[in-house]
Amino acid sequence: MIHFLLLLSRQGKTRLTKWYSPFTNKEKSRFTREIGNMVLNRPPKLCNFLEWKEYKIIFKRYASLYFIVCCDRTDNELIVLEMIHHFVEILDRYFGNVCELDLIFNFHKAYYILDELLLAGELQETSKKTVLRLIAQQDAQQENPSEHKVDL
Amino acid sequence: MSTPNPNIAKTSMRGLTNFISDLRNAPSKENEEKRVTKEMAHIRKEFKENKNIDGYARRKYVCKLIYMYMLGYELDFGHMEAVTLLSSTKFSEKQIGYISIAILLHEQHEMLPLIINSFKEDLLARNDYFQSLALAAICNIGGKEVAEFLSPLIQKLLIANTSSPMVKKRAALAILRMNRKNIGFVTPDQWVERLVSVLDDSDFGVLNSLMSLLIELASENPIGWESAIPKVIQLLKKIAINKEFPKEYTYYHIACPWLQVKLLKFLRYFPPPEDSQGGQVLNEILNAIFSQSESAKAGTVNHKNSLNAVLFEAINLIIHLDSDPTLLKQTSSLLGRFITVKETNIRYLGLATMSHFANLSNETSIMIKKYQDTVLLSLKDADISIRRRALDLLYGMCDKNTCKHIVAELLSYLQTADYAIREELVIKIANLAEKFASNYSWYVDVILQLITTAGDFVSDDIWFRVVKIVTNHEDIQAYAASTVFTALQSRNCHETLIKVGGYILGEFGHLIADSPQSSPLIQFNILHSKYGTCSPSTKALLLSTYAKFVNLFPELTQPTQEVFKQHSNYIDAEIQQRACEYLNLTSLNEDLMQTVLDVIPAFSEKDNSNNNNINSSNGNSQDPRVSSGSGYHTPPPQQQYQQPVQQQQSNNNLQDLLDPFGLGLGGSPQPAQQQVAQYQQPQQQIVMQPQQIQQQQSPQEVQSPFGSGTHNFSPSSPNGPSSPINSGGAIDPLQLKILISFKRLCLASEGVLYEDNMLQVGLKSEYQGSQGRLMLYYGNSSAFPLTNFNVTFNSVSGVQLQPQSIAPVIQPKAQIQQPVTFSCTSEFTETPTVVINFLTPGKPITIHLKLPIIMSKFFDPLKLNSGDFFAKWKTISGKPLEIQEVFKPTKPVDINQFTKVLSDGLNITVLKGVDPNPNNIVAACLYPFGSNGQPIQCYIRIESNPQANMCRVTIRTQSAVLTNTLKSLLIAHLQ
Repeated sequence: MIHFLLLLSRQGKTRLTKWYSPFTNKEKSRFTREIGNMVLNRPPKLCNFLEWKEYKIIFKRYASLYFIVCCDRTDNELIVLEMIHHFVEILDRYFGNVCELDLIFNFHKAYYILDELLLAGELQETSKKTVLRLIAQQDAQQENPSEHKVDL
Repeated sequence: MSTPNPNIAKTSMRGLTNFISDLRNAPSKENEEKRVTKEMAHIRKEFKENKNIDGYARRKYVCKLIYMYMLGYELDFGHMEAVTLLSSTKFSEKQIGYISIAILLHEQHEMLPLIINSFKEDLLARNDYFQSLALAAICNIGGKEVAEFLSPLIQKLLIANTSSPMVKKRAALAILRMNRKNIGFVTPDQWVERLVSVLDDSDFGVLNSLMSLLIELASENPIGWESAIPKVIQLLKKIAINKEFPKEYTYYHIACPWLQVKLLKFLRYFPPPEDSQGGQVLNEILNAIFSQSESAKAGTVNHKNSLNAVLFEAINLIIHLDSDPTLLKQTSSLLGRFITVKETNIRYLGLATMSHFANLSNETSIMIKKYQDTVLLSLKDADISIRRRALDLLYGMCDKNTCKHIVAELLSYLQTADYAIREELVIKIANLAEKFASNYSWYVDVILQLITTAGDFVSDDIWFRVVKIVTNHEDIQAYAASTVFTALQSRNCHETLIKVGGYILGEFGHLIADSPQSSPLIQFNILHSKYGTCSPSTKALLLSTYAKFVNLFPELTQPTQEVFKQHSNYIDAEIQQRACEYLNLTSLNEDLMQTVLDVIPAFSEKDNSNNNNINSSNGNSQDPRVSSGSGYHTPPPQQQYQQPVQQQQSNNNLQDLLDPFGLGLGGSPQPAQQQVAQYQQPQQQIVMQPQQIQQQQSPQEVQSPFGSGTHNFSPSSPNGPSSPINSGGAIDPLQLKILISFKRLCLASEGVLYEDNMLQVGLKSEYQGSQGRLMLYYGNSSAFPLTNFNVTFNSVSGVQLQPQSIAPVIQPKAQIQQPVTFSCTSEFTETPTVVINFLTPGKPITIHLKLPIIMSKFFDPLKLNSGDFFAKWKTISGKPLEIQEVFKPTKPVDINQFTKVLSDGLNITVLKGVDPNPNNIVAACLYPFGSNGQPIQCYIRIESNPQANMCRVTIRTQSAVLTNTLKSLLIAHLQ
């Protein structure tokens, strides 16, 4: 299972965090710092996996952003790595050439796209088409809320 | 790449965008803080005063608050507004509401119960989108309560034909989440049929989520979920062989890699399919997956990654099945290819998987022998992750024939290895050298080389081990003595070398004393030339060596006694004590000296020390033995009983962490040392002058492993738990351990109840209503069977125990279980006990234990607001229904710790916000089984004064018995 996901900028600024396991706020900021140091200082060309505590860190850099996932040691590393790519492709398609600023100004959207992809620390949907369709449908909901009154 | 999404502009909020820009453009941190404070004040005012605030504004403000929260600012309001958004009928508002609670709240948040109703309404709404939002929120923050109230509803959503795929896949993950928070919540007997039926769903998104759920359940306990196997194999066949799957699930030309990985992983939790047909289909599938491996050489990195992800999962399954020789062979050559490819990731995984493969069987470890040189080369990889994997693999590949080569390579690597990996490397080399040593002189050489090259990383375990092996093998003693003697000639010896040298020369120096180059005086001089720079513990050890010298070489009496005299007023108590003792011992009575300082007898081989260490791949030395200065022999009397306590104590902690019930780590630590210590005790005491004992006891007490904690259990502490410890100061370590275990289990539901070197008793407990169930695990840690095994349970008034019968024999290293059910009928003050009787080859053993069945285990939560609490509080007063007690905690007062003990350990509801003073706690609980059949409410106040480190607890209940018991409980566990 995935325990958390971090998006850090090259300067170490946090752009998005999502915690799937319960950690205290103190732990969260400590982990972010610790992992940020490990990942940001890692020379390129080395492998994308790190052993950390009882977990595994899997990360990949896209332009100025590091996408970092912390998962169980028993998880399949490559498929988690591709899940990161899958997420990036969906963001890219949704925002149209996504950049760091898109994620800053539309952080709430980033969260609901992420929910569409990952829930309870597990990958929910692997079809890019389906994810984008569902998000578009939800965006469409926003314009005609009156048609979808709660029907009890 | 593509044009911007028009929806983004349409759905964004201008106020929010401007606010984010403002913060980003803030020239300094102070400006940013100013802007945040201003905005917070504005929003707070709006929320408070603007009664007609519309949905859009509320949504915008909540978004701003989340943004500030994400930047690290504290939020003390706004949660309520987020919750209000949940009940909006507009999707946009509801969506923001759900996103914000997922960020702001967590599973134990006090507001969560408030919104369970919103969840329920949305789950019941005939609107896919509302249902999806609620399910996602449950996946994010759902806890126990959500599971209790909403699970039937969620289960229905997963199974109903009317649910859309979007709802179904989320429902599957919501169930997974609830099970994680409530292990055992999804049981096969109630769920298997329904969940397996969902495997027929045609939507691959649903299948994907469902497989996550099934994997989680199988990983917990595979029994009961077997009926999913045929369908899983069918699905794999459909994808991997028939290529029947929706197009949109192709990812870089690979057929649904995620689903394939999950299906393969699921099968790993079960034994190979029993029916030959299923096995055959599975073989075909694995072959089909392997046949694609060639295409992993070309294509985009994503194509390669996802293909290899499936391949690695297939390899893991093949390793698990361990049946088809052709597949195993293919696996071996595929792994051989993986460890040479250019991509670091694949090399890393190749090495890791090869380790598993090598450990599988003799055949597989032979198959990969031919890659040894490649692996050795990987030790020099630029990436430490790879180096670690290579080291692990080499460790697994090593055997009698290759060992010398591999150890030599590792030793040469050690010289340049970076610090992060050295400790692990040292442990592994030491283990290999010992495991495969064909002659022990080679072993001694290797270890000495380790100490010379990386002395800082050679833990005490390793040198203890050398000493033991040398002591136990006469043929190498002379060799060892001359080798360490030579090594000690070097100008800068590592301190560990001095310790080993001191020990070995003290014991076996006489074997080389005939040579003029290593005469006794030279041996003494060379050791003493290092003495000045050593740490106290090494100094203490060297003093013992000198005493041994006196016994063997009378000509050294004068120089050594000189040293002892110099140290008879030394500031370190341990050294001073040794110096005084040895001075007397070597000058008073020769016979006694000879007995005490005789050669150490061979160590018992039962204790195979550092092999355990290797289990942790980080190689952290966690050996429970404590390296006190007297690690070697003749510890002073105080330590003779303290040391075992310390050892068992830390050993116990270790076991709790790693293996609460298993026996894998059993075995008492260092029986040999204890034996030696006991054997020498009588003589020691004769030598000690009474005055000296007195003089040395006081500093020794400071060193006690229990430090300030000791008086925790001393009889003088008011109202402490009844203590079986006598007041003589001699703490019976076993009784103390029993007491600590019992106390811990009063707060926890499972753990070790009792443990010695023969028997381990583990316990798990469950309570539901007035019923309780214990599962006792008796593990035999000894090397012989325990016969006539019999357990007698003593019920108490109010709790009737009903144990099931058990087998009368426990085989060595085996474990038996005994379920005990009981029900609670009224208040009870006494604790039920058990008596365990059994026969060992030597003698009958009887163990008396208290069972951690206490009233608090039956407490129900009781939530009250401030008004209710004080209204009820006032209705009870005066003894015996009210008791007040002042106590002084042994540790500084920590209200959070208290809250945790109360709520997590004692099932007492801590009421927040009733008492404004943060140093006080107000709490309540409900005891449902009063003697008159009525539930009894209990009210508790704890006031603390951190400055004085004093606490006062006041308890009021309708039952004097309960009041009194509760008081003892609280003080015992809070003190």
